[in-house]
Amino acid sequence: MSAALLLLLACTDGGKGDVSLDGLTADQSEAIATVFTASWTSDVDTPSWLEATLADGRVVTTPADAGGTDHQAVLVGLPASTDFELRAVAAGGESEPLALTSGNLPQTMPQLSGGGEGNDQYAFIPAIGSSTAALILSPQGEIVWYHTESRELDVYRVRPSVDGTGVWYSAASVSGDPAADSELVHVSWDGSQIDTVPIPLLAHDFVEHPDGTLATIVVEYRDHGGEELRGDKLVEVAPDGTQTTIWSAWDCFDPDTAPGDEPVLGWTFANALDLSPDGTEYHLGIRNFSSILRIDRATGACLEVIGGFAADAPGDADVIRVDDDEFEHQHQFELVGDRLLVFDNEGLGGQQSRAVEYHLDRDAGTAEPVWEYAPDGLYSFVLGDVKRMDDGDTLITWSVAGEIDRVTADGTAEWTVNTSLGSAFGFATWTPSPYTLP
Amino acid sequence: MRIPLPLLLVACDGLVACNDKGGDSGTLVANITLTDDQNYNYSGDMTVPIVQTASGVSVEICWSDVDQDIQCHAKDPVVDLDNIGLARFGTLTEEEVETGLETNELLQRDNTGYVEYNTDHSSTCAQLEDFSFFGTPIDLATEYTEEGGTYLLMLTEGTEPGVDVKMITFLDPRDDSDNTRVDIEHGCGVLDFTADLESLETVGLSTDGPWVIDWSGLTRDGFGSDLRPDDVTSLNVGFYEGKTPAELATQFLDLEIIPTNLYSLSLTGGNSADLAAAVDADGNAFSGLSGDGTWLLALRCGRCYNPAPVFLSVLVVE
Repeated sequence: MSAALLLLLACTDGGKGDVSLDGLTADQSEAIATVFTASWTSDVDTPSWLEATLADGRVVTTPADAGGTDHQAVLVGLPASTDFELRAVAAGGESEPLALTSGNLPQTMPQLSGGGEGNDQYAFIPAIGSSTAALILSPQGEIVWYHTESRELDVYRVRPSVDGTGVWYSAASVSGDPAADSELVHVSWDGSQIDTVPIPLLAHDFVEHPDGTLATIVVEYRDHGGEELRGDKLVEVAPDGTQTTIWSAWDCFDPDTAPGDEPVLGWTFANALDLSPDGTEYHLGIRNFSSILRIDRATGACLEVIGGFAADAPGDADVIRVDDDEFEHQHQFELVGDRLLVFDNEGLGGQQSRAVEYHLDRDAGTAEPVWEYAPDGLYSFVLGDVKRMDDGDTLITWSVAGEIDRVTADGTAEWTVNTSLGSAFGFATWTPSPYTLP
Repeated sequence: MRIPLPLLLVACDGLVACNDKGGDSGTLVANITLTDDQNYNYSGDMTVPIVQTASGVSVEICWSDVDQDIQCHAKDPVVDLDNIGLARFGTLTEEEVETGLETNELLQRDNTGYVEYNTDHSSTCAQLEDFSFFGTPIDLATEYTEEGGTYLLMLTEGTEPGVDVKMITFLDPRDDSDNTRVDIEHGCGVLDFTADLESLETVGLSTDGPWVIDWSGLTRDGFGSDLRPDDVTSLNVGFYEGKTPAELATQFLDLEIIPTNLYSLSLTGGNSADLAAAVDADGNAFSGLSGDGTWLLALRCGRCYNPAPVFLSVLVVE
């Protein structure tokens, strides 16, 4: 046991209020220096939780537990190297505080600058480049959780697991040939438990359904005219581990009539995946078609194609053309109702990316641009992410450029985080707390 | 496409040598608090050679003349150089890139592209058209142009992009140039630093220890740039028999290869460390100051671009 851990072990008795909360102890995680596991008791059966008060007044809390008299919780959300007071809390009482200090980040973590006030969301986000890791950033832009991926694989997406026990991330390679040893990795909050779901040829993105079913983009090779052609499919992983292909690019598109525009990357090169709000549709970004596809989850049918490839859309899929101000080689997007927000990597040409929003007119089959944010010189030739908040702000992740902006509707960047040279970001998943699903 | 674009010029070089024994002493109780007044000062420039070439076409790049690195240490251009990387800075001038390298203030957003060539350790030339990144080749017509920005060529030991750079050169594609060959110069002269080890306040160490140092209060490095204490990744303690601080200042770039004894400690985080945990090449732990000469303490940022220690001071018995 390290000296640091010994110093961080402590306990309290007593407290205040009608409910007595006693025996609070807290251990720093050996795997993640910013995470603490605490135990305490209450004299009555009551839900209880942890509150950590930082020196700057911020309060980091765990969710209330289910009740009982013996309590345990894992506290996530603390910045590194930070003094704080930890209390166990219940309706009607709180324990005596423990004075603690969070540990130091490993030197392998990316160096971040900026942040501060102006954002209220936590980011589940990969670090790529000089360090490869799954991270959680605080609303102030600090690393509050981390897990290093030390294999020759990259991390493209990090998500909180729906069961509330930790984090899922993808360990894959989309550079050149996909990796045979790619997998989805689940890391418990304290980093002590790591479970994996091997999925060969994993591509950029995955989602998780409320029942724990995972769905991911997987590279699929098929023979086409005597040559092996690289397409994509969607694979679901049921909670019991069963893997099922529920859609293939070959089901909707013909390489002869829809060859894609950059064969060096393969045929379709699907690169971003979302679920519809009701969970009945997958929304899939297809880079080489510069299009976004709606797929019926139950049947695998292609419902609608939006974007530059739309004019050549096959079968019965509806078509929404983007005739004016097209997006090109896009990555993450947000499709809700008649609104499409896109991280557009190359639609403006040159070394310039943007976030662009379209209004979809399904009757007319057209999409009209209604908003964009394109600061000079910000270019992410791959990856990139967008998220619209309820207050109208937009969170934009310029992945390769190593920058995250929170931008108001009038185009003012009110919060920015940057990486130092050599580090970049993957896709971002935003939540109001580490324990809350997006 | 994989995105590692680090430009860590010297990860394990300079005064501090890396070892495999990590230090995790972030919560040690320190008895020696380092201050800015104890830090050395250095000044000078990083002058990166510029070679104009033709634009939008392949260029032959040769490195047979790189027999010294940027610290003027001898190198075998055939054996020691493993990778040639080319980074593009879309909106920065060459002067701004140089300044960013000196002050460690370049951001990833400044970088707009990277390609590389792994050497074969037999030839010392390569065509730019053969540069690529994870299978994606450079598109010379659109990505190597006069308007494309500032291009920095980095010759490294090891193949991790930008890590352990031994020589750097700007390429300057011009529409009116027909030069299609670049002979990279040796690195001696790129760094022109003058160090002052005499004006600082010395760091006092007791004879018997403990020697737990704390650098959390440092605010500037020797160059005067902002210093983030969390950036310190390693330290070392060196003894230079018969040398004065003034003499050592003139050998600033050789401090890691001339000590009589060198004790090193890699850090895994934190703002404090026990010097007794630093060990020499034979595994012997630092046991205090002795001998006739000068003892130096260096703190290094292994992820910074500038190879100079962020903190360097003289140790004396108190």
